[in-house]
Amino acid sequence: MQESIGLDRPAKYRIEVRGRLNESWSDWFGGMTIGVERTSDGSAVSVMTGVIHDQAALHGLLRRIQDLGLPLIRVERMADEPE
Amino acid sequence: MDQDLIITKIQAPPLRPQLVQRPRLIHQLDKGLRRGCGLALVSAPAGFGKTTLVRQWLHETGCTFAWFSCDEEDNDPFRFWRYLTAALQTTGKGVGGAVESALCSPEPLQLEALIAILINDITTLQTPVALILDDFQTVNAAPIYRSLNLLLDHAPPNLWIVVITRADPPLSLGRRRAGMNLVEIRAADMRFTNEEATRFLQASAGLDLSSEAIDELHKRTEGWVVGLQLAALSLQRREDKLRFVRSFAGDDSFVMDYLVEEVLQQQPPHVRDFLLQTSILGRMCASLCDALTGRNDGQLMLSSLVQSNIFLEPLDNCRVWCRYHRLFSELLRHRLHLSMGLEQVMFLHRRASEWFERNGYVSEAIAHSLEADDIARAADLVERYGLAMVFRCGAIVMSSWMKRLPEDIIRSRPLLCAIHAWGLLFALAPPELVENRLTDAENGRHVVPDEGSGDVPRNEILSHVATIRSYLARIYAKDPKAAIELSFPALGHFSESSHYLRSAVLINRGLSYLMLGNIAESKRAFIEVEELTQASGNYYFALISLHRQAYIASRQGRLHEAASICRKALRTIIVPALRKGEPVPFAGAIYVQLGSVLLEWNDLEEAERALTKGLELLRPYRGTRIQVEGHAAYARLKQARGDLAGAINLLEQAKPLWHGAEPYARSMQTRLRLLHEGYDPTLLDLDEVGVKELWPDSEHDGQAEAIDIDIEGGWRHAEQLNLVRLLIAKARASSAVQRDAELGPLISSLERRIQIVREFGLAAWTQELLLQKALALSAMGDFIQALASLKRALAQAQSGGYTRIFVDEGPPMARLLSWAFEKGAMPKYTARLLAAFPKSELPPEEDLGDLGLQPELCDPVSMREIEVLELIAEGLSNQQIAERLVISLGTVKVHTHNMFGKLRVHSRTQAVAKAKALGILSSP
Repeated sequence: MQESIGLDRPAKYRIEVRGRLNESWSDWFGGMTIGVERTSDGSAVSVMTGVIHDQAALHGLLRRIQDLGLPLIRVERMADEPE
Repeated sequence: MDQDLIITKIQAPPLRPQLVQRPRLIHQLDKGLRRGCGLALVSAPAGFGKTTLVRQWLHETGCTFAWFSCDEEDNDPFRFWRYLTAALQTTGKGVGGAVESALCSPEPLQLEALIAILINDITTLQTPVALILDDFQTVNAAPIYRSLNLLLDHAPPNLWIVVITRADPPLSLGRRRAGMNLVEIRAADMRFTNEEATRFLQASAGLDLSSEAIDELHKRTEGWVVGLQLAALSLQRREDKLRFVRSFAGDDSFVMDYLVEEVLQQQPPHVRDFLLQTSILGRMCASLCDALTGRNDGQLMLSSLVQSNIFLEPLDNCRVWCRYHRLFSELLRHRLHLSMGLEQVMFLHRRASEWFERNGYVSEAIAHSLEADDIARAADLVERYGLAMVFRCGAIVMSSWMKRLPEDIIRSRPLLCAIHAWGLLFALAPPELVENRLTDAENGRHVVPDEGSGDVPRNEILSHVATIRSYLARIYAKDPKAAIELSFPALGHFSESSHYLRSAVLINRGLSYLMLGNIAESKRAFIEVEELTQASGNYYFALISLHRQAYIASRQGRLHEAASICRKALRTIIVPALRKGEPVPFAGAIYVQLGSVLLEWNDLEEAERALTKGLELLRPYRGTRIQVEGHAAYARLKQARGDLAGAINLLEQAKPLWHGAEPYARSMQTRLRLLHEGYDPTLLDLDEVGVKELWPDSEHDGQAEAIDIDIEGGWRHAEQLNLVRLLIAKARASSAVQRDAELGPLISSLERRIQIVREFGLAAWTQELLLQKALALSAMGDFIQALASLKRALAQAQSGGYTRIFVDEGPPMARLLSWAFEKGAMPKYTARLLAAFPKSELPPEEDLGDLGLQPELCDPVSMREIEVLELIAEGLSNQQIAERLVISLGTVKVHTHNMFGKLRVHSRTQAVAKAKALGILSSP
């Protein structure tokens, strides 16, 4: 079920960046959960998941990722989980 | 230079010795810009050495440059352009001087006009000027992108713009790329090659690594410059270098995270603490660091860290200010939050805020107190410094502070509401917004009295409110009476020492009285402002006061007084300030006023000089009333030179700027066409217009409650006069019967108007109306009455030295004047006026011959020469005369020389004596 995306509604996102970030970075990235996965060639990818308040917060987060020089791989909006 | 500018933002970072030269990239940058690409884009994520590269290029290419380091606060277009202009001014080549003044004043501005001026200034330089915008990714406001694109699209070939950024900005890059107008240096270009990495690692304190090790490091960091720098730093302190390389290469955590952890571990604890604590600062100096750490080794620490070439970058050449490389500070701050609790971090911010306030950096003080979540303190700071900021022409800066405070905090503090209302007023926000804030100020109560802010007496708040309302009444409601009424309670409760506030009230009062035609009260208000500004040293208010005093004097027919006031303003304020490179808003108005007086005296050369200078200073003030006045005066100057076509054309060109004054512009053009081509029924494209359209307010029993003698009132008066001229011309072209029918009522109407205007003390307008009455009467054939009116005008106009109001009326006036001369009416003045007419407009020679014009006066002494003569008679030396009249010594000598020739004398004493004998100088 696709809900319409607005500018001001919270949504769950999954963001992937290259490199391994440890869990202590969670606070820095707005409380997102940080996990690590491996790609087929063995390199590490950090996956941040969590609810982001609105589009402004999302762009702020992406900017923090850019500020740190982390290569961005994927940004995906996830379907809302049932309450 | 304005102290509120953070100087380090417009200074290039000092040049630092580089371990790796990058000639290939420097050459690419240089070649591209010299070839004619207007824009160079250096775009890569943090840590690739972008700033260093550009700095190195500037050093090698040796061109003039302006550096602007952007930050998030620069998203306000006015702040952005203010810093950009200030950066350009650091080149010392006079770029953007007029713009800086304009940005300091609350008059309405348009960025397009400012940009046009900057472009013009740069073009005249001809040599290349590089404009560097560093950290441009912090700027993301659409109006700024638009204005930059405008600059880029119209930039002269000698302007090289270099944008250093982490993210590509929307500056039409695709188009510029396709048109080969863009130099690009991107991450791929900037990565160290294996060879460069080798050179770098070997040069870093003589690291001796095998090529395999270097390969590993290069691969792991992917040539990322800052990564290699940190790796080198770690390696220097490690005994077992190979082990480090292997474990680093084998680790897959985020490179920077790993390396920073490494490096921090290696530091002694006190250094580590220093790094973490100071990471909250956007920029730092020794004293500030000590305030945070509570120690006194700040200077030592900073010096040694700067040496390491990674952690700290110096921001200026004196090594007072520096900052962490942005990437590094992000990482440090992350660790700070991990190692210290939130409370402690906020405590650091609070310390920082206090230091910044103590040392006069209010913006940063506010920023840090907000980070410390200390909203109350932030509000205190705005209360303490906000008003001064607004009155120092920093309304925009103050608004940016205000925006960071929550609405309910603002509402709970009446003084804050009042300050915000001032800011909104100065920024020309819609009056409803201002009024809302004023209501908030009236209703607000201090919710919780804070330690920092004393209670502001309610009366003072109410004074603020009354003052601002009085401005709103005059400007938006156009109700001068209400404005004046409000000004009395407003003054009541401002203390004696608040000069700005009292001046602000009085200026509004003075302008309101002008709208009512009350010269005496208006003058009184402006003189009081002048006295106040002598204590406060506020240029803006002082110049407004002097400008208005000169304006009033000229309305009263006192041209000498008007000129002398203008010269005082030039001598005491404008010229010294311009010489010091300080901004002088409103200086253009003084030049225009002086130019208008000189024009009236028919001193065309001096008038042109003053008007040209005035218009140049007014260029950024697109569409303001003063600028309109400047253009109108310049058109009249062209007319005086006989260039009627040029005058019409000038008005046409200037029309887009005359927002709100189009009827005035059209009226002037019609008049010029009348002079140029003669009467034509189409000029009067108002068929039904009759005398009834003139001066509707004077139809009430010949009494008028008020006449607007402010600038707009002056335009209405001029439009009415032009209408009268058209009606007279129309009458001349009609049959005798029709003529009498049309002119009769016109003359009555004029006479009624003259009575009214006279009662208001408006000698200048009275004269103009009398001349029209005389012309109307002579058109009707009633020469006796015409002469009577003319004589009234002459009697009044003589003391002011009026010339052009006569000459501009053309041949009919020349005829009247020669007739007056013949009848013996004020022969010297009349003869001088006649001599000012172009020969072609004078009645034929034989008529003049009988008039016995004195040969000496055929080449009459000009008004300017009379001024010089008067000062000679007072006993002043040439040098003193030059200072008094604000002209050069050479010019004084030219005038005296010419004058001696005209009077046929050889000495100053003789000149004075002869002038008195001829009646040119009045004998005591």
